[in-house]
Amino acid sequence: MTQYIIRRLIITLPVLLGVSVVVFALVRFIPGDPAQLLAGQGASADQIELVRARLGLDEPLIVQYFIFIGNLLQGDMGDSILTGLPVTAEIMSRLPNSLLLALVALLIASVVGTVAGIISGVKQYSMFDYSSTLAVLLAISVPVFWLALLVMLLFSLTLHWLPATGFESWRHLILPAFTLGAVVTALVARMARSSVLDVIQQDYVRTARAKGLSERLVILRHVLKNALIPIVTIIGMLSATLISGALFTEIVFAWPGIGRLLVEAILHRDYPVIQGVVLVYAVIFILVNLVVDISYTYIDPRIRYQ
Amino acid sequence: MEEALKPVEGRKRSRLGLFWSKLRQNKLAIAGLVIISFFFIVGIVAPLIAPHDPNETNLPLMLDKPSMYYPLGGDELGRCILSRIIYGARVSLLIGIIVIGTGGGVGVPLGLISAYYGGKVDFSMQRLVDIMFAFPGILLALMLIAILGVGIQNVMIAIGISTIPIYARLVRGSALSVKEEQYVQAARAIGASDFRIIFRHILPNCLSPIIVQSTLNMALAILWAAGLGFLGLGISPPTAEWGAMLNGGRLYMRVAPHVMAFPGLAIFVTVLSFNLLGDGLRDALDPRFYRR
Repeated sequence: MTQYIIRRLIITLPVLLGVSVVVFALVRFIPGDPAQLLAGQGASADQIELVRARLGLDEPLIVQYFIFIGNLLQGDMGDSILTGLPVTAEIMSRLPNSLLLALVALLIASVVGTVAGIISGVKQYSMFDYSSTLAVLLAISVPVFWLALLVMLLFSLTLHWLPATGFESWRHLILPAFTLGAVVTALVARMARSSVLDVIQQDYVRTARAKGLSERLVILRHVLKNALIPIVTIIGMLSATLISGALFTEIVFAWPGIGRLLVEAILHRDYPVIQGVVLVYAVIFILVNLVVDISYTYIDPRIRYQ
Repeated sequence: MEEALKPVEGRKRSRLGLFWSKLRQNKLAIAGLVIISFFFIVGIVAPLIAPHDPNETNLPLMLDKPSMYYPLGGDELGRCILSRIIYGARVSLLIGIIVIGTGGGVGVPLGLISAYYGGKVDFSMQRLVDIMFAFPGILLALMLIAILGVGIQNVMIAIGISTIPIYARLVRGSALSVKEEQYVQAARAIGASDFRIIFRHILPNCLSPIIVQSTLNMALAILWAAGLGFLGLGISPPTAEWGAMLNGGRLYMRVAPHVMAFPGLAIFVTVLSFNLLGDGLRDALDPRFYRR
């Protein structure tokens, strides 16, 4: 298994390097002077020269790349054009908020999605199964930004149960987490149902039934344990949905996360912030997938022997 | 020669017939197909059926409720929401088609070449795909918009490029198994060129997953384009685009919820229809897959 982990880490390194090259190239692809772009439209000649010197923009591209990586490793992603604050500080002040929202949404999705999917699979073709399948289909197709607005309209503007926007208390977290969680719940439920249906047809389940185990024990001991394995693997995939969904959820609910920071940065052409946030998102995504892949070997012993 | 061809034609027809009869049994997929066809027709004949000019502002009818004059009400600038939704169908479906063309046009050959040649070619192409996949969901499209700027053409390019890795990975998977088939070995044995083997023998046998994925990618493209429009990073105003309409209406949600409700419903129904059809096509095209 150590070999598997080492192999998996080795595959991750070139991807991380590739991501850094893409993010580095981002500003270089845009027509115009990168120093001007990174210093902002209103920057003085001195400020532009300062950026040029700091990033080595007069040097060959390869040297520029190494300066970029060197700065990155020291946590220096440049300064925001909009606020003048270091990009690292901007990201670090908002990243915990995004992580909190994503984790609560993932928690909702894992609990509700797994339970709904398992009941659906165990009671295939029941009324619950049909309703759950329909709900999954609707949730997968609904634009998250529209759902966010509808939820806000109903629970906040009409019923006045929960605050519409802001970040002051745990009550502010409920609507964004529910909205983001709804789409992810649907994906988990679909996977859980499909996984239960796969396992329920296996020989060992038939054997468990044949030796006289009660249906409850068959489901709890044999079906659930094995059905949960594939569900873990989709957490990597879910992180992509969570990141995409969080962009919209943070905008609608004015949640101060890095998704909102990115969209505002694109709207204001704040390139240092765009580079920083894109890099952070990509690294988080790669690391989550790495951790999921490695944890999978612990959960499913078959992987270790392949 | 003609006699020899007849049974083959017959088999082709029967395969198509079998596929259609399977698809027809799936009522949800057919419902999806009907709704998609409806939106396509609406998009094509938009100038004939739209009750008003979609960009004509009429300030006295600003945020007006649905009425005989404006069947779905007026938007924040007093424009007819129904007419804008009708014209928006044209934009959304066009984006979907171009995205599939771009993503499939690049991703499918990439996947085929990667699988066929294997070795270093495959390794380098797959690392390239890995890097593209490292920017999850809409992030790659957003990054490209940051480089290219907003506008319909750039939205299509950005989303199209974002779907390239999806096609490349999918087609590579299918092509890897197809290239081991005996008819491919036979084609190689009689001296067929690599180009001919890849595009004449391997590609046609990878079409089923490509068709299914393209249907699902249409849903994705419409959703992402609307998402970019919603964020103010999509098509420039005053072009009628569902996401931008939704964004325009959200500020007036409290007093005129219909302004954001109808464009959202249009996106939702279209995306749902493509998802239903995609699921149905997967069931009908893949004999190993059955609906659960």
